[in-house]
Order: sequence, then C-alpha cells, then structure tokens
Amino acid sequence: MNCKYIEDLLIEYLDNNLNQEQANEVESHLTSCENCRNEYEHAKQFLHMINDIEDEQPSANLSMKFNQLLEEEKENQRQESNQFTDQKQNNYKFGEFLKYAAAILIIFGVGFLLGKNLPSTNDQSMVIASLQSDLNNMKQNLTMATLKQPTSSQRLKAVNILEKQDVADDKVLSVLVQTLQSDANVNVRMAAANALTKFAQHPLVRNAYLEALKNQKEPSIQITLINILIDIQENRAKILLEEIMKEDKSLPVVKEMAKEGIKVFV
Amino acid sequence: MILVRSGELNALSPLFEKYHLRLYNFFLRLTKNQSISEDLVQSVFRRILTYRKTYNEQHKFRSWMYQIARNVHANYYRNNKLLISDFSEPEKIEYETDSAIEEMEKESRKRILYEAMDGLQTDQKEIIELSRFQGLKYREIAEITGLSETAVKVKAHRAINKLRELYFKLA
Ligand SMILES: [Zn+2]
Repeated sequence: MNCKYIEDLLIEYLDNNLNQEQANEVESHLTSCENCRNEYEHAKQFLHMINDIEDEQPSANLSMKFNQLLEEEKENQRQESNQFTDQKQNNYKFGEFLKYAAAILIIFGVGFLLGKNLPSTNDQSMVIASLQSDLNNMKQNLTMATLKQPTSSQRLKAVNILEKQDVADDKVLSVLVQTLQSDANVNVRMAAANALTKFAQHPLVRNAYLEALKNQKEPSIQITLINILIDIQENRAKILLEEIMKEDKSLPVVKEMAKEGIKVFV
Repeated sequence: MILVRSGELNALSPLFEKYHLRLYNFFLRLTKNQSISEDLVQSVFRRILTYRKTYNEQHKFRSWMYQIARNVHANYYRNNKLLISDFSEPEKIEYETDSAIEEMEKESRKRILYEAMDGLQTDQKEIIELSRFQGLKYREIAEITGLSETAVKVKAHRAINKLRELYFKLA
C-alpha cells in the first residue's frame, strides 16, 4: 500500500471528511504500517493542539466603536432620505444636467444658431423650439458619448439618463442594446436591460434580451433578464430557460426562476 | 443582513455580536497586533454598511463577511509591510497549582504556534485561519477565495503540514 497516498488522506481522516471506503483504507493501512501510525499520532496531536487554541478577547473599545459607527450611519441614512425627497421635488440632477448641456450649447451653438436664425425670422417660438430640439440632441449625444467612458459609474449614470427619455430613436435604442450586450460591467448591463423595458415592444429590444440571456452567465443579470422576459411575455425565452435548467453551473436560485418562467410560457 | 440591506441598520448589531470575536482573532493571528486588529474589525463593519446594498442573499452572510475581511487585510498588508507586534508579555503566573502550570503551557503553545505561523506565506496563513481557526468547510473557503474546492484542499494540506513542521522546529 502506498504510504504517500495514505499520508495525503490523514488530515481528512482526522477531520472525519472521508467516505467509508477511504476511511477503511486508512484504518487498515495504519494497523499494518508503523511509519504511518506515527505520522497519524503526530498529526492528531497537532490538530488537537490547534483546536485547543483559545480566542483572545478584544478590548471594550471594539463594541463601543461599532455602536458609534452604527449611530453615524443611521444619521447619514436620515440625511440621505431627506436629501432624496429634496431631489425629487427639485428634479435636481436632471436640472443640473440640462444646465451643463445648455452651457455647452451656449459655448458652441447658440450664438451661431441665433445669429443665423434671427435675421431671417422674427418668430421667437421657432427659435425656442429649435433651441429645445438642439438641446435634446445635445443631451442625447453627450449621454451616448458618456457610454464610452472608462468608469462604470459614469456609464451607469448615462444609462439612467437615457432611460428618462420618453421617446427613443433607433440610435438611442441601439446604444442601449449594445450596452446590454457588451458592457464590461454587469451593473451597467443590468441598468441597460431595465432601461430598455420601456421599449420592450420593439423587436430589436426583444431579440437583445434573448441574446443576452443566452450569452450572459452572471446570476444577477440572469435573474433580471428572466424577470423581464416573463413580464413582456416573450415566449421564445422558454427554450433558453430550459437550457439554464440543464446547465450544471447555474445557481439554484436561477434554476428555480427558470422553472417558474417555463411554467408561465407553457 | 437582508434587513440591513433594506435600511434596517439596527439589524447589524446581532451580526456584530455573533462575529466580532471571530473576526478579531482572525486579524489578530494575521497581524499580531491587538489595536490594529480592532481597527480592522471596525473596517469590516464599516464596509458592510457602505456596501450593504450590494449584498446578495444567494451567498451566506458569513462568506461575504470573510470576503470583505480578506480584502481589508490585503489592503492593510499592502500599506503596512512592516508588521509590529503589540502582544503583551505573558502575565506572571504563580507556579503553585497544577492548573496554573497548565495555563502556562497552553499560553506557551499558543505563542509557539503563532511564531510558527509567521513562517507561512500570507495565503497559507489565511487558509489555515479559515479552515482551522474559523472552522470553515473547504466549499465555503472556495466560495470566499474564488479558488476551486480541490485547490483549497490541496493548499490547506500543504499549509498545515508546513505549519506543523515549523511548530515542531520551534517547540
Ligand atoms: Zn505507511
């Protein structure tokens, strides 16, 4: 019998981690091999010693500081929830963004725009309408440019801004779809998936969801996609869900959801 | 933890009660420094609060917590290559009773063991810490470290054998 093989099993044997067959192998070898018996006693003694090591007590400071930390965080939480209400009322972030877009428009566009339009027409509302539409375009372009940014939080913000738009042209849709398919960050992809739900009747979007569910294996996005596909009643998802059920690597939670989904699509 | 994530911060207190001693000793064995270990425990709970919204209930709270603890330690280790021990000298114990002698021996075994652990690489220390002192199963350690279960097992065996060797050299 191979002593090396037995030696490798000793720790697991001592921890009661072996199956019956392996345990028997170890035991029968130990009765016949003195070397391994010594090794076994040695290891046993050492593991006992380690298990006997008692934990040290931290000073009372630790609990005190934790409670402090918790109180501070609760205070932050209160302030944040106040701020959040303020933000909702003032539409703070969106306003800030418009200001930014407007500033750029003013720097590069308005002088030109007004200079060109004013002599030919006195219709103020025309100018304003045109300004408005330029502003919208500018906003979209800026946002789409932001989607090329290196940090995921910037891209996430950009997706959220695109989500707020009520009408989406094909350009916006295709940028969001592309983000859903290939952004490096799973949170950005999930945000894109959610942003697209508003346009879920668009065939391009429906296909994108299916494609994403087929290719993406992170549990968080799988769950998001399954929920969306059930919501929008996309029957073609059924076959993909069945594949997820068969896939060994899928998390139990995801499988469970896939199972529910399949029932819906029957 | 699901409660904490949803904003019920008080729900973190029982988790602190349950785990702070283990975490403290986790850091203590890795850093040999009591006040630093207290700070690191504090950092773990600060991060738990900061990142509470990213907690995913598909994973055990415990695994998530150890993942954070490893990051906190790795951060600390990067910034402080020079580790300074502030272990207090063993208290003077009277040699009169058997139990006092036993206490002394226990204390000295512990010191030798900790000294032996210094001879291990950081990842070996960590795996000893998780598999032995924190008593986690290989499967959970695999989840925490991102290694395969087999790799964890092999590493744990090597680390324990190395530690044993170092220990008996010092003892
Ligand atoms: Zn043998």
